[in-house]
Amino acid sequence: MENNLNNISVNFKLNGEETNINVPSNTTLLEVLRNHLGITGTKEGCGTGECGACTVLINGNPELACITLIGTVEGKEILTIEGSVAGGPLLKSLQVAFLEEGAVQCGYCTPGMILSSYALLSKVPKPSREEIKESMSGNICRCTGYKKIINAIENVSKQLGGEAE
Amino acid sequence: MKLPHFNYLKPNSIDECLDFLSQQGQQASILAGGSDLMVHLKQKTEHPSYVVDINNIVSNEINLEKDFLKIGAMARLADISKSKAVITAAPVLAETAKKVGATQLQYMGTIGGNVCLNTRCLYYNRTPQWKQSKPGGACLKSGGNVCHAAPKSKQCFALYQGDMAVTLIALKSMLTVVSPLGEKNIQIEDFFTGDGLKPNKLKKNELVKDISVPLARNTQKAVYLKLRNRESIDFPMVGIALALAVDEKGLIQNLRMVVGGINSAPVLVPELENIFLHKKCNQFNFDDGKRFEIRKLIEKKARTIDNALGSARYRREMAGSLGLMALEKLCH
Repeated sequence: MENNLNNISVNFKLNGEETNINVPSNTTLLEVLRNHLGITGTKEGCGTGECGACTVLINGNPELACITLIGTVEGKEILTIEGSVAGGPLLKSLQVAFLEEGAVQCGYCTPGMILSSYALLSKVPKPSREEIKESMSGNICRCTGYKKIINAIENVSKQLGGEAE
Repeated sequence: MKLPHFNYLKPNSIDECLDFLSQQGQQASILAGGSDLMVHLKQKTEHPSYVVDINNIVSNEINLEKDFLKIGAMARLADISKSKAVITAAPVLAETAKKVGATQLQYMGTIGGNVCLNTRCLYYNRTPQWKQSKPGGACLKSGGNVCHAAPKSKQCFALYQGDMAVTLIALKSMLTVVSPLGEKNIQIEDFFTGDGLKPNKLKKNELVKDISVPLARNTQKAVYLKLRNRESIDFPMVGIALALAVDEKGLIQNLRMVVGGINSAPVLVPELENIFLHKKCNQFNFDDGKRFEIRKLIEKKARTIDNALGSARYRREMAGSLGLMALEKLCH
């Protein structure tokens, strides 16, 4: 069986760039991002998969980096809040909308919030307010009370609709 | 939160995996989606020497076959909730998958992993530091010999809080389990032991490969209701799956209610069949006497003690209420 050693070599695409890393096999994706690669936009909140602060996109799906073993991302594409190029205009629009709407206060949940909403809007460009609430339910914010976050996502969704028409 | 030390393995074939598990199974944990296992590892409720990733070797496909909806054990809950095949053949399964955890956990979690969830308890799912601070030491499930929830008990009351299995039992589904001896099919209701210490019969060198949901011949109605502490994320305090078939005359056939979260295994309430069988489905008369009787039948299945959020009595009575709601929803 392969990798019967403490260290593991993993290849994946991080924000559009091929990345190779050699780390102990009990390392999480979150630890690789923050401690080994030094990109600290992705936050650790609870560390046990409840708060959504560490949400990143893995092959386009919102998943939790704090409970993702690094070995499981072999060959996959990862998008974090730093991926301004790989994330394209949608990532930028969401960041701008969050700022304009005042959806950011302490900012700790924001990277996770933006990536969760990025996943939603790339799958469902015109979600209802209810759909937004439902798909954002895995991200906890202790400052804003959510209303401004949902407004920001709605604003971007309207912009998307405008482009399509 | 740091993970403890272990080796991560990713076998390339089922045989290779089962070979390894036959030798080292006692020291190994199986990684499917990881959404539950990783939390166990961080909290040190599991401390394996090996974590065996089976995503390369167990299917995640969802296929509509002649008599069955076949779901690979590695199918993600998010894929199940969106799958056309599932929505056509067993919409209640999609509805159930949508009620597991939160969005991200549905993208990570698998149906196989959800079925094989370990039982949970307020006194078990804790860090070692928390457990050490408890007089009397480790609980039964943690390898000690006391139960902190029921101090004189010699049995474990940890609760089975999976969602998918509850609905799968209501739909009479079957599991395919692979072992070094070959494949075998198990009715999913026989998969559970009812023992809080070891909730299912899966041996250390066995894997759940896929799940077959029989296609309904008659018109089938089904629903899954879930009560949880936070509507957005938590495990069920109570989960109720109800499936019934209606024949061409509109009479109820094969009513199956399964209750999760109130016992160490999902439990069926077969006594309800006596009340509902061969009755006209959309005109069932729920008078006060019937309501009381139904609630009591369901509540009797609860083995709740104060080992989860919400008091034992609250969760027991809510099982009755939710069960009644499910019946009213489908038969009123």
